Amino acid sequence: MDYQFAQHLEGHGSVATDVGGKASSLDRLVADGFPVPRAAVITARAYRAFVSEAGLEPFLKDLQHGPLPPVDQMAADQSRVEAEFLRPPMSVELEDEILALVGEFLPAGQVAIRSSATAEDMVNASFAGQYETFLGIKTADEALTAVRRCWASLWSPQVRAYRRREHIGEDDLAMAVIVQSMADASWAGVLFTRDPQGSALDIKVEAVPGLGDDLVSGRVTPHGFVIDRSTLAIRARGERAKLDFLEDLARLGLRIENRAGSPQDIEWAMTRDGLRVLQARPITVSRPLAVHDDGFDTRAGSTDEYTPRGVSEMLPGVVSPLLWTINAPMLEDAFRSLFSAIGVSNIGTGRRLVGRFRGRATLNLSALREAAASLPGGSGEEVERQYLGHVLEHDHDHDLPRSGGGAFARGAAAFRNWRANRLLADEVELIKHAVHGIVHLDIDLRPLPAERLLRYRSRIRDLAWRIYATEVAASSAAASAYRALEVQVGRWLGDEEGARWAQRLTAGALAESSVGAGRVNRLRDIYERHVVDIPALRASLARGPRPRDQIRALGARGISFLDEVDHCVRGFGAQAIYGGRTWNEDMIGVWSQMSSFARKPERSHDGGEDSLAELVDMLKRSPRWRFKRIITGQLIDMRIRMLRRMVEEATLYLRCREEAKSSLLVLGGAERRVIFEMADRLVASGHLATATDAELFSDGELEQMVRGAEPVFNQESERRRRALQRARDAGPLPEVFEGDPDTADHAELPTGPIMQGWAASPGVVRGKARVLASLAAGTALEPGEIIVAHSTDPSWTPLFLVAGGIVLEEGGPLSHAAIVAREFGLPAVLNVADAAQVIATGEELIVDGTTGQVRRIELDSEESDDD
Amino acid sequence: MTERRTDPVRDDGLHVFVPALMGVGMIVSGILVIADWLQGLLPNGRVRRKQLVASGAKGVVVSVAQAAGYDIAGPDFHAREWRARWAYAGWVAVFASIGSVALLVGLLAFNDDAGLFYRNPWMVGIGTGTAGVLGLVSLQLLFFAAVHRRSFRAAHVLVETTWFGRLKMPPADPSEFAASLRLIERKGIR
Repeated sequence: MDYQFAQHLEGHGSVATDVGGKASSLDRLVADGFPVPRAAVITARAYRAFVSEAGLEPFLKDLQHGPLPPVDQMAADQSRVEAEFLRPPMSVELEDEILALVGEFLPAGQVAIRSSATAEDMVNASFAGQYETFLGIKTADEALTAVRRCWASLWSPQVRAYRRREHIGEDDLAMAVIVQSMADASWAGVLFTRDPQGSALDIKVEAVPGLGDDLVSGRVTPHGFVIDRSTLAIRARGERAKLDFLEDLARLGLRIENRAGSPQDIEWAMTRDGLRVLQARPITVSRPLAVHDDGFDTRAGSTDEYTPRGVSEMLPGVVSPLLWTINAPMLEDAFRSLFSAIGVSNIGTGRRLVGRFRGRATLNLSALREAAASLPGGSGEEVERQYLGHVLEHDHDHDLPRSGGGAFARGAAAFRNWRANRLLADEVELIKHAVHGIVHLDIDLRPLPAERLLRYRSRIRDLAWRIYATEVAASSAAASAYRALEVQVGRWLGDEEGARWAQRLTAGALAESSVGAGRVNRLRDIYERHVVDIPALRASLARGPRPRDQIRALGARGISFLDEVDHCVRGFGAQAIYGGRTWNEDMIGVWSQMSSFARKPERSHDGGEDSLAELVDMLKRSPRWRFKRIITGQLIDMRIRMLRRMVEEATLYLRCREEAKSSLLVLGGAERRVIFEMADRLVASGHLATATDAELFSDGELEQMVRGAEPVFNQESERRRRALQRARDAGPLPEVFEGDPDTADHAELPTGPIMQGWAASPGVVRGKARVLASLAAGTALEPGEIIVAHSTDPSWTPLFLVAGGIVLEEGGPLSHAAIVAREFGLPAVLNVADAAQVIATGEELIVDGTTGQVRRIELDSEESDDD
Repeated sequence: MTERRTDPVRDDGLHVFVPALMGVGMIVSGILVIADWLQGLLPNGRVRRKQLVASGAKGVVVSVAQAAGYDIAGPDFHAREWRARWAYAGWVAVFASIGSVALLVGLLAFNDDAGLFYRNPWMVGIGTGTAGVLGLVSLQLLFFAAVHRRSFRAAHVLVETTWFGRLKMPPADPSEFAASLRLIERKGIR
């Protein structure tokens, strides 16, 4: 039957102003695949039709503007309101529809009738237990009465008082009603994904035997359980109750929180068919926050060690609540998918692999070490080497986990790895094509209704989840293959040579594929094509960072050049983080890249193929090598064959990683367009003061506002803005820390003339240092100067074209800075402790990217004088 | 007292160990050479994989567009196309030869009074049947070789849906792929 006043909740999307907050939330749960009992909703339109037909508007206006009754008269007031809703006749059409809808559910058993107000389950006001719910409805007549009483509960004196206290407007309020199959529950209750009264690191579960209605209404005292979010271990339990499904329940709660992007208050029931979610809404009780915590930081308190290394390229700097709640669940899920694919099983389900401290992204180093150690032949040491560039000194309490594993176990692990990686290249190709297709379509978002806009965003996000998973898998495969190559060549030529050759062998192969080089090459093509026809273009570009007006003055050809650049840049997507700032929002990075073409000749690449030929030639010339080949009867040189395969594999996975990263950023541009569209609408509706304020809200909060929820209070956004600024002022996080990063041990700053780091890109350069705290500061960079910074991300690539060398405090062999530096032939030393703190701008440096040394000339000569 | 490490080459005096080692090395090398050669010969399914990639990507784009209320028009990435004229001619030669040999072998076996299949009608049957089927296929291929793309509609359908046509390479470049897709507004959706 086609309903005029009702709709089924089947996950096809619904608007909160039409079906109410609770039903809308249920619909999203269905869409996300959570186990929700079958349900439908009698929409707010039915309520409005009834109120209009029954002539109730004047009565409701009186309630809206009149005084609240004293406490002792509330019961009488409620009866009066109910009587007003129960008395008037209902139109035949409306009654028939309600009866037909209830008739769909009754044959399967009893039904529940629940209120779903249009002002409900908002970010700051949950209305939990305030509206009516009727359970165990057996007949159509009972259902009709229950629906009327649900409508009436919108105006109960308690609810009116709550609305006034929370400053929630009453104009255009309406009540939808959910009709739902009764969950035949053995236990039911409420789960808070973060304990509102206790530690934010805990999950709180309250449970009662049978149906949970009494619990929600506060009529019974429940059994309480406190569960550790990290380990899912039960910290405290109700006295007599022992529930064997608690871990599953906690896991379900965390998944819902992950999808919603904020802590959730979830009503659940345990039925014969398993766990069922009855509703989920944001937790509205706030907790005390640190001065630089905007409410989205990971709570310090676990014994896990965290590091910003390795993740700060993907999520650089202080990540706003919006970008954090978009990206962190995807990254977390990507790690878990990878672990599942390669057979790691000892990571606690509730334990976070990705954390946020002082607004900055971190990885759970302890969990990664344990994961690596659970694989045959793996060790925590390898994880430290990969993410930190060196192995930490450990005391006895933190001995590195190390795995044993026989030949069979290693073989099985290698097979699992092969199986997980064999389709990576095809997957990356598919992703690249799909992202190009989506960007090419350039769908106009302005005419899309809110639900369609959100659904469009959800589809884009689905692809982003897929790309994140591919990128993390490719990174892991690349790291393993690269390390294997390093070790193998190291066996023949020694460890240092092994590391150097691994860099050279894989450098040229990335020239066309990396995030930076792809962009650079496309812009270079445009520049070279136009500079032939417009000789003045070179001078205009070389002159300064904002040459648009000068180029426009060059006439039609100049304008055509600008159009082509603009069109090209639109396809670049986000600068550094999915959904973050795009290249075309501020073209300064693009113009400085163009300017570098005009000012500096093209660099030559150290091609991987040439390097391989050189290495092969060198190995073959060795008498020892030749002797071994003869003595083992190798008609074809099997070691060279193996070397070629290893180089192919390492470059393939590195290329996959770079292309996946590049695709993610391009798709991030599409996500950014949706964010701006949502923000513009919210500015128009008065939810946001400016579009940039959207960054201060979580993904879930923004979505709820777009769906029609009340605005989050301005003071909350102000508080978050201040906390973010303080987090930026607080500077980078320590390399590794446990608990609160502010209490981590800080080593003394180095004072000697020589600073040792990791040799990332070979070559020696002498020049003046330019210490950069941000990309924006890079406009001061002069050609040939050496960039000294804490870390870089893909948005810094234009600076690499101008710089003479790179010195960074962070970065490993496969970091973006190392890869791009090798592509551009820049000497680079990474992982130089405290470099950006002790080196001053203007200081003369010699950077030796072959040995990993940074020599401070002035200190060096002072020491020589002392001698 | 330290025990002297044994050196298999020196201790063996080049009698047993070294030849065995060299022999194993030669065998493994030989196997690898053959394996590499075979790998080069076997079809690697490259076009098929490219087709799967393109159609999978199209599926993703379609789902995104549909969420916004649009449909996508674009090429069928599983399509087949005409092979080169000489390829059909080559196949004619191969099939016709096999068919002729089958017929000849059948007849010779039937008439060979010293043979196992003397006067056995099955041999003639199998030989003639094989030759007949291959002959028909050859005629079809000969037709394709002769008229090629100027053929009638049914022949085009045959080529586009069976092995008579080869798998069509989808656009390898993502930009070309994207350019082949077109947005269509769905009536009554928005």
